[in-house]
Amino acid sequence: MSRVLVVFDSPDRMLDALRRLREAGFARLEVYSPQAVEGVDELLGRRSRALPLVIIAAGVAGAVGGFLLQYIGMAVHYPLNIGGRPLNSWPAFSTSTFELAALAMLLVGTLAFFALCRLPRLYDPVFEVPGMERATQDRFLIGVDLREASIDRERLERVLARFDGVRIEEVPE
Amino acid sequence: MSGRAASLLVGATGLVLCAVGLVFDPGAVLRGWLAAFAFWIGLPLGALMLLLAHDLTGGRWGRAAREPLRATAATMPLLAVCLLPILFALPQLYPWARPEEAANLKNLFYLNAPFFVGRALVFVGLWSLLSLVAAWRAAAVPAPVAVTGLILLALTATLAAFDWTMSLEPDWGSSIYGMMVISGHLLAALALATLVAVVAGPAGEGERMDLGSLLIAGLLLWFYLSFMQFLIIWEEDLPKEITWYVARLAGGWGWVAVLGALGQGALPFFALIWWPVKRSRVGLGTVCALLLASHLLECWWLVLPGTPGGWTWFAPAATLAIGGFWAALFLGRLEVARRQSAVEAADAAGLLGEARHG
Repeated sequence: MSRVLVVFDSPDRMLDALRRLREAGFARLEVYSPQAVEGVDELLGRRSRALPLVIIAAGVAGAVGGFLLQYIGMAVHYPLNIGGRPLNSWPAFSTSTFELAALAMLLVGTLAFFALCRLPRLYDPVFEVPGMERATQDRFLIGVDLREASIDRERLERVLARFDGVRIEEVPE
Repeated sequence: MSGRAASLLVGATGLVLCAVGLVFDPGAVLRGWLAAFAFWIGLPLGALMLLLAHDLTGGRWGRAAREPLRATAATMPLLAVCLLPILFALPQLYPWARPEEAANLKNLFYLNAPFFVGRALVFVGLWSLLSLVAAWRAAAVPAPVAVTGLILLALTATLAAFDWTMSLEPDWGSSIYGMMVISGHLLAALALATLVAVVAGPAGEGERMDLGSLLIAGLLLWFYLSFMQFLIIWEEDLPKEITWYVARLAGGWGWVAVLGALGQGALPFFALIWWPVKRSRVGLGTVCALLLASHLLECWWLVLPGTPGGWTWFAPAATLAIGGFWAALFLGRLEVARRQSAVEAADAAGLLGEARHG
């Protein structure tokens, strides 16, 4: 298995090529671009539905845990009569419950976001490709995994034939 | 039958019911009228604040909401008239206006009939003037007027809430009360404008998203203020303060409080943070209707348990009486507002056309 990078100089051409590559049956694709390009997520099939669900679950867990923390402390382990108020003083617990739910959502949400983006990642072989650094400036790159190198390479070149001046770079193993 | 004629018929029926009731049980009619007035006055008052705020800051949400907001704010003079029965019946409604009960009150320098009536007339006079300037005319008001108007509205609406509903229990006081009532006004006015914009207006998906987000902000503000007042008074648990909540959480009123917290807090919040609801016409309209119904319950809940006698069927009757005439005026003004913006749009298009030719 080998990887190649296809280098474009405009987002529209890159998007067009990406669509054609998808239609030609290339499944393992990756895009490197200096800015978010509308439509790439859909074409890569990467619209994550997981993050909102993870954050909601964290919020529920934080709220339940935050309430139980106070309930068990105030009503079970250290029951104290404070001014005749009930041991389960839920109105007084509610603000801390809310704060702990918000804290859990923020922490878990941030960590889950990093995990879904596969961050932090310090090295990737594509960094060795000459000109790769321009993916942060003015070049739009598509990474393609070729499973049966020679056949796929031929198909790739056929798909890209209509785009003139496109460079194809090998990614070192 | 047109919408306006039907509204007038409903209003007249309610008014007849109240008039008949006045013969048998004037106390019940008056407290029902006050509960209804507390709801209806909030709509033009909140709309006026939103309208002036939009004149100052602009924003896409106003494109869909301005016409209904203008029509709502234009109904202020009608509510000023609806205040009159209350001013003529102070001893029947307010304990501080009854000499035998007012003897041991320390705040009579503020709560006395001449000062109360004077303040009330200043409030509704100022609000009606602002309504004529900002809502009956088509043009946006200049910034200095909007700023002055907003500051005056915040002060007078706070004092009006203290006067008209908080002073039903003259021993009781809460400094957050005015803000809490104003946040209810804002939320109700925004919910009504959104409902009208969604049902019969040109609200696109972007405008619906903006209005939905504003509704979330409004209901969070209302929920925060209401809950903070409850939390502080509940924590202190002092006999002088907690009585207000004892009357409002005992028996059936406790369920009304739960319904209000659900219908004006939790349910619309969780509905609106879910994108598909904010985007869809039906979803957003349903949330707005729920907010308005809950706000009506809240206004009854603020007024009626604090009066001797409590719940009365004259509250819904008076709500229909004021509401019928209110709706007739509102629909008329909405048509006028629509015509005016159509003329403006045509003018703008004409100017553009001339500029292109010239």
